[in-house]
Amino acid sequence: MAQLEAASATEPVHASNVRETESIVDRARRRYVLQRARYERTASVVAGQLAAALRQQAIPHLLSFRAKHPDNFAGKVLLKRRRGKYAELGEDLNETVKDLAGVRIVVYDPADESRVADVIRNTFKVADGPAAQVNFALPPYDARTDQTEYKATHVIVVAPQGGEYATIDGACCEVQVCNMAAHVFNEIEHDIRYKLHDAEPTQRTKDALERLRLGCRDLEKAATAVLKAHQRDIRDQSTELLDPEDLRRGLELVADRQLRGDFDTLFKLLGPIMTPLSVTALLHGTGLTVSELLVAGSKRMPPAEGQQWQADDAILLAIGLMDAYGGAVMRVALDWEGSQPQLVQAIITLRPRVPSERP
Amino acid sequence: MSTSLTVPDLAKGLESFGDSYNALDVFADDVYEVQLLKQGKLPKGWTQLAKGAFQISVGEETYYARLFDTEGVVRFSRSSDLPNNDNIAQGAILGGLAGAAIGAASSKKGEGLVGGLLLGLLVGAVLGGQLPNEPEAHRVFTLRFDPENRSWRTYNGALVRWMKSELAAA
Repeated sequence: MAQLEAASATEPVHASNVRETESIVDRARRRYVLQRARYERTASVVAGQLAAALRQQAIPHLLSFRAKHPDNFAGKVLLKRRRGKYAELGEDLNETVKDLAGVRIVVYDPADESRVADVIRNTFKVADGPAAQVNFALPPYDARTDQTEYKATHVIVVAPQGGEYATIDGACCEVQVCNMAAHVFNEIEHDIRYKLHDAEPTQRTKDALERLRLGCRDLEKAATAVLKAHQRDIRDQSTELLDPEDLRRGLELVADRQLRGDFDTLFKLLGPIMTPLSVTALLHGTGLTVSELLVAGSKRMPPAEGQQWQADDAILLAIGLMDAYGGAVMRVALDWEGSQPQLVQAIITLRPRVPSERP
Repeated sequence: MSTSLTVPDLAKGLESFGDSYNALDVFADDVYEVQLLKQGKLPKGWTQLAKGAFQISVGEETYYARLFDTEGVVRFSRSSDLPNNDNIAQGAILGGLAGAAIGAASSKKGEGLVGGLLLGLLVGAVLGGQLPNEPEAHRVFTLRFDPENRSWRTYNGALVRWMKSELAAA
């Protein structure tokens, strides 16, 4: 049984302490190797649930997950102990090292970063403590102070518990969110600084990093501009919406705000009932704006008592569309095959209240 | 159990939503009566009104069928929207027309794309009136026929976009 390893965090690092630290690190590495499968499963489970949630919300993204490589774990422990941290590495390494399980989500649209952070918080319990949620692009993280332009949001979540998740009970997972342009800079810059430990890069490298940072900043702006142009096309044209993301983005531009909810299911509900399915046709069929549809939906919400679902924008829109498309939308909901998403359940609960469809 | 659609099946599909939809478009090769037309025979209860256009009596109800030979589609409707000619095709020409429609339908579906699905598209009114310089948007409803229960259900699978394009072309 591994013993508790403790050292004073305030002890100066000299030759004999360096040897002691390394031996502690080697022992910790060996212990991590034995536990690593637990973090592989943790990362896999968290990634799977987030992938499903993000698809439902129609947020395009790239997702990867991993358990920390033992060598990287050892490197981190060594680095932290030299900085006077990680004084104690208990039996549960995860109590100290929070990113043994890691998930990274890279979004296409920088505006989706905050949306993804909300999805993470709504899908999992967030770990305790102020360090559990960090946005590195916001104060108190200062590029000049920390000598880095790393941009991402980190959220430490607690793995699901009980039942099939018994083996990962108590484990936590760090979820990182950034946009594609920031990801390029983050990866390269972090790799260089990690290898240097606390040493400064040369001026040549610093200059090159600065050029990379500026290039990535321009890339981020260009990506935003492309997505915005496409969003306007969706709103202005009457061509068929190709996927749930098109539906969400088109409605958001008309509403002039972000919309949340299961647009994947909303798209599947609307696809069978009009052609072409376009934002223009959808709204013209109702004679209402997106905001008016949301209000209409909230007015027709059934009482909260006994309600199994929470209203979000997608649900309110679906309910708001019932006046114009009620019979058809209801029929699609009633014929739904497989497990019923909350949005479908919400529509079905309105069944007795649907007015006759307008001719 | 017939794996083809019949006129009573089409009538049932059209009446699914009351008056919300005017027509039900299906692929010509899925309809039993069109197979009879291909043989140069006029099905019972059918009266030819014009080339490719028919009046159909189903019990006490009257329906209309229009054959789109190029598109491979049969439009089954409550109202008659006759082509602008009173040319009534006879015998071999009627058979050729139906044959062309069946061939076009098979060609559209390609090799195994649809499998054994019997698909239908209910077509309704234009949505919100015609917008200037923009194509009309219509109420539709994508259906599939269950030959075991002889009933129609929503079709919400991977072919929704395809069938709206291929069936609504008529």
